Amino acid sequence: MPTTLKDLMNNPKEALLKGHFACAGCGSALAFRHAIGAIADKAVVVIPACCTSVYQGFGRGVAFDVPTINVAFASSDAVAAGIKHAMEKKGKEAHVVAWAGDGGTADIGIATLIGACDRQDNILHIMYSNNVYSNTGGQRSGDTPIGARTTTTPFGNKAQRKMVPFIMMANNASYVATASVAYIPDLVDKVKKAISYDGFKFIEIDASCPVAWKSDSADSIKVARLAVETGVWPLFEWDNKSNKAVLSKRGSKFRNKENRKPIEEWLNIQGRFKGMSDEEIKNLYADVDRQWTFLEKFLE
Amino acid sequence: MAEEVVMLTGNHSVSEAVKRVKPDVIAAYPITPQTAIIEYLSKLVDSGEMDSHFIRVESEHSALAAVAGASWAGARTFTATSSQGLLYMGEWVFWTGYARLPVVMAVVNRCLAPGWSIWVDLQDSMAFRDAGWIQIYNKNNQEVFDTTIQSYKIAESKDIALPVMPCLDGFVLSHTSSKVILSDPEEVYNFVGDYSDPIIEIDTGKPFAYGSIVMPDKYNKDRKDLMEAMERAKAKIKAVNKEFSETFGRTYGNGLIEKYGDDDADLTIVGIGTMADETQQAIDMLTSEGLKVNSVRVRTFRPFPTEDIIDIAKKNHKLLVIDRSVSFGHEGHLQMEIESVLKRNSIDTPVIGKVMGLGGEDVPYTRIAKVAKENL
Amino acid sequence: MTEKEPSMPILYPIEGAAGLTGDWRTQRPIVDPEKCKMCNICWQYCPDLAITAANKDENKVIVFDYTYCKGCGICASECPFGAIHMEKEVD
Ligand SMILES: Cc1ncc(C[n+]2csc(CCOP(=O)(O)OP(=O)(O)O)c2C)c(N)n1
Repeated sequence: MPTTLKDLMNNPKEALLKGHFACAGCGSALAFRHAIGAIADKAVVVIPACCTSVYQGFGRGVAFDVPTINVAFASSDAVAAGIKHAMEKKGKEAHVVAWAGDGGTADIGIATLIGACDRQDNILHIMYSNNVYSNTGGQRSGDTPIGARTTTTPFGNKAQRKMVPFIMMANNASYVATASVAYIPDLVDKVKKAISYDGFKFIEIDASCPVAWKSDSADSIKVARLAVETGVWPLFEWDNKSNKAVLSKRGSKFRNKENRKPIEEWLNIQGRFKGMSDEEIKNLYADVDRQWTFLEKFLE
Repeated sequence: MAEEVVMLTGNHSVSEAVKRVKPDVIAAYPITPQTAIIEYLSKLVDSGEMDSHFIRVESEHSALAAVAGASWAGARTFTATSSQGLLYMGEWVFWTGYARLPVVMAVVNRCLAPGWSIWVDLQDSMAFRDAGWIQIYNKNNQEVFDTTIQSYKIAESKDIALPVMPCLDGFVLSHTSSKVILSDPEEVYNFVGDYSDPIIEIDTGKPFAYGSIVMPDKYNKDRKDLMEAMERAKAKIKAVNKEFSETFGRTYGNGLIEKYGDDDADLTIVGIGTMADETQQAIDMLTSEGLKVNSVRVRTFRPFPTEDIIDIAKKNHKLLVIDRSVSFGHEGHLQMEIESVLKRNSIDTPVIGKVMGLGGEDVPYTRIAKVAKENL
Repeated sequence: MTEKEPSMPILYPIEGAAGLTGDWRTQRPIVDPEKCKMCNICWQYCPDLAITAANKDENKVIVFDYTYCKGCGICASECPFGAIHMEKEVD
């Protein structure tokens, strides 16, 4: 049975407590609340350098109500693997989650990520992507979309988006999914499903960042929803047993281009795309097409 | 199974010790001349002779990250590396030390590139002398076996809680077989004890956050505590050395330093690692020529045996410090430390420094004796 | 030698780790009890857990926790019934 809003409300334990340090409208904090909340009683989270290392809080205490280990930027999966092995050896049950940004996943952490995947370490990697290095002020990452103005691509990012979920599929992760803060029950379903698999699991969540995206904090859900509705962010699941991808219910109709909203609708409510040239927009469309072309190979 | 006497390389001496202390989790990445340690352990784990989890990581950075993770979760851990591998895990060397995780990591000393060379000097481990690790340098394969065992007892005691780096000279020890007494596995395990009451552990019902943003006052409190733990470690290392000798009949000076020859020497040669062992032959030769010389081997570089160095400097007339590593723009690491100890304590015993044996350069005792004579 | 626990950077969970984050607010959400259909979509989307869910059985609409609400406005823009609006904070 798919998770409903009612189920969420009956969740016995929150993983995130009130009064944390995340910015107003933070998609990552919202994602953490529900994704880790879904497994709060058995979760252990490992957090590399990223916004989450900061917004958990400091000083008197932290806003995370689960065991949390903060680690060096490039190493969340290795630490998570070590924790999981140790707990297994000691006969302790736990869902060990590496919770990392797009920088800590797609860029500096990618060797570690793939290493843990190759070994099928029994952990879940959740990549929340705000498409930039938010914590250090919004520099370009490997997951930055074409055209985005970041602090290191002030005239627009030219590089194609690094689709980490596809990399994980190619490396035979046991379960791979994409999710969005706009579709919380779907996100929770995917987390719960992920932990039912043995071996290495991977989920990427599109998580709005009003600061880096130069969007209204009130629009954090709207932007994320538009990413799905314009086809920029395909919502799907894949597992290595079937080697088939399945589009998530909320996103399936956007497989058909005719159902998609123009990408410009997504672009126009974010300051980070202000001043994009026609050429850049064309390149962005092409990069989105490239993702779908790849994904199509795994769809029924 | 009782005690065994075998011909063994330094690398396998490490492995045999590790086998006996039964770590829960091992993670490692190969590099010459360390590789044989982990190859042997992989075999023991896969054949079921050892009940450990072996994580075959994709880099040294991940090797130490994984054992640190396991250590946070309350596991007994082991890893090993060398040279470039140690540098590559550098971020985690500091992280582990500062985190107070009782990880044991054997470092097979090898010089640093460029150009490529696999031979010994101590530049690799010396580069991490400030990382909050206890460093114990060994003279022979027996000591390598014994120190590896002792390392766990030191690291895992709650009043210390520091990672320990047993260091052994590449090839000279790692790849050279010599006689090693392998103590009875059960006796060794009993000596170290189990690790059922860990320094830190993770339980899903007990949330806490480790290593969130920390304000300067707390940061300084933690570092001060690390400093004090290092200070306490001196007594601990001595006590473990003593207890070890009472149990197994083998001893290494007072645990921090090992003296050779009589006090009141005109020249004391201070060294570290196998070169310090070689020095003893030079002392024999010079003594037989009627010269008043003796030697000191520094066994623990961290914590530094300050009090012992003061004692030696007071009881002898001149120190010749032989280093196998150097701080470019200054001098050898051992010399640096000794001079600072003497200066701080207003001792004016002259100190002469000599850097030798970099990049595996052979330093026979005859050469050490020659240098000694030049400085007498 | 006395047994001693090492000093480590460990913190425990508390509410208000970042203080009373309601102070950050420049605008506050106001719910119109007439319009609130108690669907709790706003509750779901609140990154600050600053909404007490509505309860249909007891006919209670949502309640904002102004102690922690940062005023991001997600609730107002996601409410399908236009039952929440934002008002400038005056102080
Ligand atoms: C080895 C290392 N390099 C650089 C940094 C600086 N740094 C800290 S967080 C960060 C960016 C993190 O970006 P991302 O993973 O996307 O997470 P976000 O900040 O967006 O949450 C960087 C570059 C670091 N802490 N460690």
